[in-house]
Amino acid sequence: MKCSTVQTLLNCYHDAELDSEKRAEVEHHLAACPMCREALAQLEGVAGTWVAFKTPPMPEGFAERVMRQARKRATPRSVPGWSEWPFLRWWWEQSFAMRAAAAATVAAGLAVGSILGFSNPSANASSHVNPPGAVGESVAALTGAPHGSLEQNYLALAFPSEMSKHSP
Amino acid sequence: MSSDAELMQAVQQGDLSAFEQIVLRHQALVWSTACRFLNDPAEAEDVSQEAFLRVLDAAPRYRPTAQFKTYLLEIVARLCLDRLRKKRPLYTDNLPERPDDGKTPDHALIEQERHQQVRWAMEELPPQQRMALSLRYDNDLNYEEIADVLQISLKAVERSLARGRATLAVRLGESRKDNPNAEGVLRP
Repeated sequence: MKCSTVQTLLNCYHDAELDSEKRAEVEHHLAACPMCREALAQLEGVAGTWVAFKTPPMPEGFAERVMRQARKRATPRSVPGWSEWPFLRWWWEQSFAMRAAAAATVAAGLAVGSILGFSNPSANASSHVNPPGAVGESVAALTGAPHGSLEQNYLALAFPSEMSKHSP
Repeated sequence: MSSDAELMQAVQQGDLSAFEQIVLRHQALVWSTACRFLNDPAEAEDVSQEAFLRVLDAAPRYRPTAQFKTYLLEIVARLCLDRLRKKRPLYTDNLPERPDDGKTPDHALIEQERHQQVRWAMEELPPQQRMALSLRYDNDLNYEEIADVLQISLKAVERSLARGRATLAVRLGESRKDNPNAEGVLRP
């Protein structure tokens, strides 16, 4: 085996990664080649320097600190103090999907209610002068009250235009 | 004594005492690897703690297809390499001054200087070479295991180790000046 070949195998030889046949060939060459032995000694010197360079000792209490963090991660999320209220406690106990569904349902209900309220034909800008249909119907129901009664006087003050429609 | 695979099975069931056994069994390995690589005990402890917590978080998905040690070191290596990428580069201005050659230092100073030289030499290695050498020398992993941890090919492992050693040999002055072929001999 040539020096150039052995030198490409020296790292694997040093790490015991060669098969038995190649290992034997390298050892046979090393026995006769001081230059390659010097190169191997260099590798072993680097290994010795690395191993001799000590890392600081393990910090005390490391395992306890890890376990403290581990227990935090394993504990269910704590409920905030203000959610002692039953509804809020229920809210916090639901999964994200349930909360999203509940919020969407409420929002849809509000949206539908708003649309129905705005689309009611008796709801117009002059409602403070002409009361909404529901109120007008109530006024009509009350116009049967006797003339000069408290009801009649109230209605005359509150809804003059309606009263003029229903006055005898 | 339960094997790592058995302990991880228990951890999957929520057994924290099994996880504690995992930590106690492997803390020295994780610490020395992180410390060797980062050369900063505070960062090394941070990375070591995070490595174990990642094992805990990933426990439901853990499958014992490889040795647990290799799996754990893969996490450590990834965290170390990420940490190094985010870390401020080591500027030479920040390094302590080397003693004047004209002085006659005592034994303690010689040792201190040597220690510093070794540390500088290690820190100047590219991250992959540094980690490959640490896995080989500190953790006694073979080439295949190193390849698994670093997610590189066997050839890349061989190259990383060879180049890392050659660089250290030159930086540490291991090669003798009177041997004209010293650097050529170590060229991979």
